[in-house]
Amino acid sequence: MKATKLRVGIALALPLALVLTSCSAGGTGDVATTLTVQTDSYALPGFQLVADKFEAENPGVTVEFQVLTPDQQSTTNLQVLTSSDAPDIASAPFNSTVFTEMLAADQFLPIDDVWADADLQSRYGDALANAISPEGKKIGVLFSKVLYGIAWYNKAIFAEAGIDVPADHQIGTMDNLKSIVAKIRAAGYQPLSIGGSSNYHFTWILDNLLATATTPEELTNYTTSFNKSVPVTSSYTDAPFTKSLDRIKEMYDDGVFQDGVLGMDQDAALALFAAGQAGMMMGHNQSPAGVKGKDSNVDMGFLFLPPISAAVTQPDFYAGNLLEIPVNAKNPDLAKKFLIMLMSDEMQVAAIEATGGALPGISITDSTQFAKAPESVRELIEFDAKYGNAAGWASLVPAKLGTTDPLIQKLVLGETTSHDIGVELDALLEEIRNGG
Amino acid sequence: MTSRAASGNAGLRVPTRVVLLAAFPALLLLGAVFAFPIVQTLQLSFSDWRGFGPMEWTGLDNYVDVLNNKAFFEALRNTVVFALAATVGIVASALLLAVAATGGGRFDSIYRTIWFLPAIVPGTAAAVFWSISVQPQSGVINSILGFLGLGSDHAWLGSPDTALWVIVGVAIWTSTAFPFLLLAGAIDRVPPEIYEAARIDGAGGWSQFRYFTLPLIRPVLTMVIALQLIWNFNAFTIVWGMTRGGPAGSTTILPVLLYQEGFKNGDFGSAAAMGVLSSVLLIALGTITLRGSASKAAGE
Repeated sequence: MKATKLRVGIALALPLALVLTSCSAGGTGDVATTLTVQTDSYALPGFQLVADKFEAENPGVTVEFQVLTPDQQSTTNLQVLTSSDAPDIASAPFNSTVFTEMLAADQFLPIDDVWADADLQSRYGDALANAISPEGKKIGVLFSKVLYGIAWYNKAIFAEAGIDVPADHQIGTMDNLKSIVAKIRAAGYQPLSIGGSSNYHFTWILDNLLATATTPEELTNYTTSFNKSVPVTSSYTDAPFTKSLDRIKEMYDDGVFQDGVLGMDQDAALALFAAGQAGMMMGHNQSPAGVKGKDSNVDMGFLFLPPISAAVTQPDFYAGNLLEIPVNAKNPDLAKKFLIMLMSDEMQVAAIEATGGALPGISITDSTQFAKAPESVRELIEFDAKYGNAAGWASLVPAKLGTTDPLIQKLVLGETTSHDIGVELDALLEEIRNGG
Repeated sequence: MTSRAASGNAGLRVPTRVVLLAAFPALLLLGAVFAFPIVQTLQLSFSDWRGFGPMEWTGLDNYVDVLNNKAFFEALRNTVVFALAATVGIVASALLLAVAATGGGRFDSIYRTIWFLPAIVPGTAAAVFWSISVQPQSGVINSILGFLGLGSDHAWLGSPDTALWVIVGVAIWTSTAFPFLLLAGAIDRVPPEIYEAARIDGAGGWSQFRYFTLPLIRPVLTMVIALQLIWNFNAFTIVWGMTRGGPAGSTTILPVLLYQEGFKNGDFGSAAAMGVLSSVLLIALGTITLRGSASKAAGE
C-alpha cells in the first residue's frame, strides 16, 4: 500500500515538475526563446557581438549559432533549411545551388520591412542592392563583402630572397612572376600556395584573370548570361576565357604553384604559408585573420597576378554572403530584429575588428572606421578605393557552371584543352538557361 | 494450414497465422527501415527532384542521362579498382595478422589490441592525418623517403597516377582491424587436435594453413570478403577527406560523384539513378562472391 502511494506520488510529481520547469524562465513567467542563426567560422566573432547585444536587449531570448563550412552552406544545407527544424536565419550564399533552389520555390520570407527599417537600398548603393535582389525581391541581407584573388606574400621571405616588391602591388608580367618564383624557390621556399584540391582556388585565379582579359561588357555578359532573359554574346570558347585558362596552365607548367598543389586543400595551403614555408598564398581580405588563427605572426603584404590584356589586375569582389529567413523559421519577427541590428552602422564597424578584417556589407566611406583592421587589410581597402575591383565570375553564376576546378585540374595535367572546357561550359550554360 | 517448426521440434506444428503474426513486428520494422527507402530511391530515380517539394515523374530520363555521362563510367572504373584493391589488401593483411596473433605466443593479446587501434580512429581524422603525412617536403612519409635517399618531393595525392593508390593504402590501414578480429576468432575455433595430427603426418606451417586453416575458416573469410567489397564500393569519407575526388577526377568514385550530383548540382534524380545502378552492380558482385564460395565449399 505504502509502495503504491509512493508510485502515485512520483507519477504526479514528475509531470508537475516538467510543467513548472517550462514556466520558470527567470521566475517571471516568460517563455525562453532560442533564435537559431547560421554563420561561418570567419564571421562568427562579429555575429557573437550582435548576439550579446541582442540577448541583452531581448530578455529571455538566447541566440544559438550553427557554424557551417562553405561546403555545407552550398550543399546539404538545403535539406536543413526546408525541414521543420529550419534555423531562424539561414546562410545560403548567393551563387549556391541552395540559394537558387530556395529562391525558385519561394522558400525565403520577403524582408522588405528589414530593408526599409535598415535603409539598406541607400546604404548598399543601388548597384549592389539591385544585384542582390533577384527579380527585385528583397529576400536577403548582405552582411559582409569579400575581396579575393589576392596573392598575399610573406615580407620576410621576400626580403631574404632579395625580391623587390612593386609599389603598386602589381607583379605586372609573367616574366616578373617567373623571376619572383625562381628567387623564392632558390631561397628554399615554396612559391604561390593554393588549395588545388579544394575545388575553388583555381577558379579564384580564373576569376581574377578573366576580369583582365575581357571588356566590361564581355564580363557582364559572362556573369549574367545564365539568366534566360540575357542574350549570350560571350561564349566560353572565346579568347578572353580560353586565354585565362591557358594562363593558369602556363603558371602550373612554370612551377608557380607549390609542389603537390593538386593534392593540397585550402587548409593545407594556408598552413604552408602560415608556417613560413611558402612565399605567397592565394587568398582574400580575411586571410590575415586566417593566418593569425594558425598562431602565426607572418608579416603579410599583398600583390596581384599579371593581367592578360588590362593595364592592372584588381581584386575580385564577392557579394554573396547573404542571410535569409526561411519560411519554416520559428521566430521570423525576432530574426528580422536580429538582421536589423546586424546591419546597423555600429555592428558593421564593430565586426571589422572582431573578425580581423571582414569588410562591411554596407558602404562605409569614412576610412577611419577601418582603423582597427590589420594594417595589411587597411592597405588593401585603400587600394580597392583607389583602383576599384572587378566582379568575380564564379561568385555570380550558378555553382553548377562556376565550379571549374575539376576541369582546370584536367587542363593543367594535359587531359583537356581550354577550348574543350569552353565547349563543356557552353553546353552547361545552355542547360541552365533551359531550366536544367 | 500449419508450418513445421524448427528441426529440433519436428513434431510441433504451428499455425501459419500465428507464424505470420509473430513475424509481423519484425516485418514492419524491416519495411520501415529497409523497403521504404529502397522504394523511395527507385521512385526518385525516375523523377526530377531538386532536394525538396514534390517529385516530377520523368520516366527513364535520369538513366539515359547517367548512361550517357562519361564521368559516370570513369567513376565506375575508379570504384571497381578501389573496391577490389582495398578488399584484397584488407583481407590479405587481416589474414596475415590473424595467423600471426593466434600462434599461442605470449604477446598475442597485445598484438590484437595494437592492431585494433586504427579502427578507433574516425574516418575523417584518418583522412586528414594521412593527407598531411603524404605531402611533399613536409609530410612524414616523404621525410622518411628523403632520409632513405629516395626523394622527399613526391606529390602522392597531387598525381592522378598515385592518388587512388594512396587512398587504397589508407583504407587498408583503417579497415583491417575488424576483419582481423573476425578471422582471428575463426582461427581460434579450429580444434588444435587437427594441427597436432597434421604435424604428426609431417605437414609444415604453410601446408597446415593451406589445407586445414583456410578451408575451416572459409565461411568467415567469405563473409569478410563480401562485406569488405560492399563497404569499399560504398566508401566516401576517406576519399572525400583526402582528395574530394581529384586530381582531375582520378579518385572520383561513385559515392563521391553521387554526392556531387545530388548535393552540389541539386540533381537528386540523377544521383538516385546512379545509386540504383551501382546497387545492382554491387548485388551482382556480392552474389557471385557468395555463390562462388558456396559451390567451392560444396565441392570439397
